[in-house]
Amino acid sequence: MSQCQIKSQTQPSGLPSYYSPRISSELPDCSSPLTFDTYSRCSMGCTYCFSKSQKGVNPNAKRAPLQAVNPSKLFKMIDGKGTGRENHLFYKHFFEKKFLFHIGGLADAFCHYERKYNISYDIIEGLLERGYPTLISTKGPMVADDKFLKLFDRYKHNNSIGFQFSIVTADDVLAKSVEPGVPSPTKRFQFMKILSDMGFWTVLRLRPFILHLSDKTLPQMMEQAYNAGAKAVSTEFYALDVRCVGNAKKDTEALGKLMKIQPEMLYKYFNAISPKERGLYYRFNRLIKESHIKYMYQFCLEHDMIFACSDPDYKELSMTGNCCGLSEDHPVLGIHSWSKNQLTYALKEARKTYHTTGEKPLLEFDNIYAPTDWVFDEHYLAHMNIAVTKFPYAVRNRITLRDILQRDWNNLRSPSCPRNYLHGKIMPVGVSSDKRNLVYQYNPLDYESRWVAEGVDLTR
Amino acid sequence: MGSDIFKRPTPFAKYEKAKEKVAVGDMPEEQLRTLEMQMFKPDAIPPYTGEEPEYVSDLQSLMALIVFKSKAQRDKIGSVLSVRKSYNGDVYITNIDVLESLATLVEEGKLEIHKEKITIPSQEAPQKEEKIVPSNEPAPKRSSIFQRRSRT
Repeated sequence: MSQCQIKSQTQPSGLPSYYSPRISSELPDCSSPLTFDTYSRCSMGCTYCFSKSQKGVNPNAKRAPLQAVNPSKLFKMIDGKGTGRENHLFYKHFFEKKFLFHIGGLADAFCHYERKYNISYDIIEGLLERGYPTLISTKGPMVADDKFLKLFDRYKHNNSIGFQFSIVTADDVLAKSVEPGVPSPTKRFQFMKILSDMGFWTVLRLRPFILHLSDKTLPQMMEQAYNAGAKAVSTEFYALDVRCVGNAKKDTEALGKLMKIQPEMLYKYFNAISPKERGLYYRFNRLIKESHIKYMYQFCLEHDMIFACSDPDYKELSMTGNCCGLSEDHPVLGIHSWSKNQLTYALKEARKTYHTTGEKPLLEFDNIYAPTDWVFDEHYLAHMNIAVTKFPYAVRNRITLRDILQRDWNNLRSPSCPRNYLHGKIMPVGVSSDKRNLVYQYNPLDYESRWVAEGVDLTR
Repeated sequence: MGSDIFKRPTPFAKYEKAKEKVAVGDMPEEQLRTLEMQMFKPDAIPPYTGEEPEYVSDLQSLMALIVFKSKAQRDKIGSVLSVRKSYNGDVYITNIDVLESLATLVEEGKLEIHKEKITIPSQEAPQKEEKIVPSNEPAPKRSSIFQRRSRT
């Protein structure tokens, strides 16, 4: 969209209109794909930010001015009063069913822009008034401001909102180099405690877990999260996007220095330790992550917290089908408010079955992505997925999200294929009876037998 | 229990020793990174040799590639079948309902295909029989020519 087009759609805040919500491209293993950002950008400049590298390669995003969602238009959509096909489909598949609204996908709703524009306030107030199930991911300086705390306090009886605090180190000095515009970890743990004490569901979002940096204060982070009332820990390891350019590249190199990797070795290091099957988004292999995952998992077991893993490695250890760390039993934010038709839920169930019965469950495409009346088959919504851009127009005119999922499921050369993405945690064993899809089987790995021998409970 | 596809012993003991050296200052942390590159090299997933689906997706099973003989043919067919060109240069057809209705008429006997031409059944077929080579038949193999040459 050109700059003049954007300017022509300005809203009361004076900012050009930003289109959100959208369906997350992590749909294959995401329980809450209804993702939302108030602002098109974030003011905080974290060195590990994956959205910076995504936006950095998009020339339109680079040129565009700061944009923000128009709250009145959003609530028309939520209340089913919006016009247009997209409004109608979002209402039909999400808002009418009170599907979990995840705020903070690519930009923090409570960043410094909020101080000036106050748009997130209007949105959160509207969601709280409606008792709408909402999960907020934040590090933001604004979340514990008086006006927000008063608002949360007013609606705490609804219990309709949960908070994830992103924290990657407990070291305030180190954090200043990694996340220059963000309140210190000490402050963030304080925010977490205030909200936990109000009765809200709070989660330590230890994401990205930066190897050689986050591990230095892992025990302190876990302890502080527990003391701040966090009910769950959600983790995912830092991955290096080889395609990063401009500022994102500079940030990546700065982060490499903090990880004590010599600058000329940075890409070689990530390349050497990351499985090739996962393509150019370098994610370390599971072996180097094992001790840290084990620490977090055991800590959660001992402290009655939920361990949730968004990382493709050890995803099976999630104690809930929601890798953001929401309990399946929560009265408002529970399993009825998010999707279990995704790989995280299927893997968790497979791991539990294996460690309870010894049986290695099969994973079938038509069972995991079962619903035929949901977004999977809505052609119109497929255009929100970045994957459609690689197809010729003739295909785009017919494609659905189910087709995108199915292509990855069956294409063993694709980095998104479950076998490659999970690096052998599930392995193909044949095809379905109608020969349409590969059938995978849960593949118990060496670490499981070692952990069980040491007395770690893998049935949770 | 455990059927690990990666049959390598874990390097944890060796790694812990190296980490201790870093902790007491006997080794710079940067050097540990070099060691990690050797110790934690990931194994490749063993290849899958079993049966695979014929198509990667249901949509792919509905696709066929059409290559026109000439631009003139493309334009002629395009005027009936809405051949379009996208901004990035893709030439595509998705509305093939016209072809379907044509196929239905043939199926119902209301039209006939004779020598790659559509005729109405009441019309008389031409008397002289000619050998018809369908345009989508593979080109004749040239190997026979080469074989003849090799014999001489």
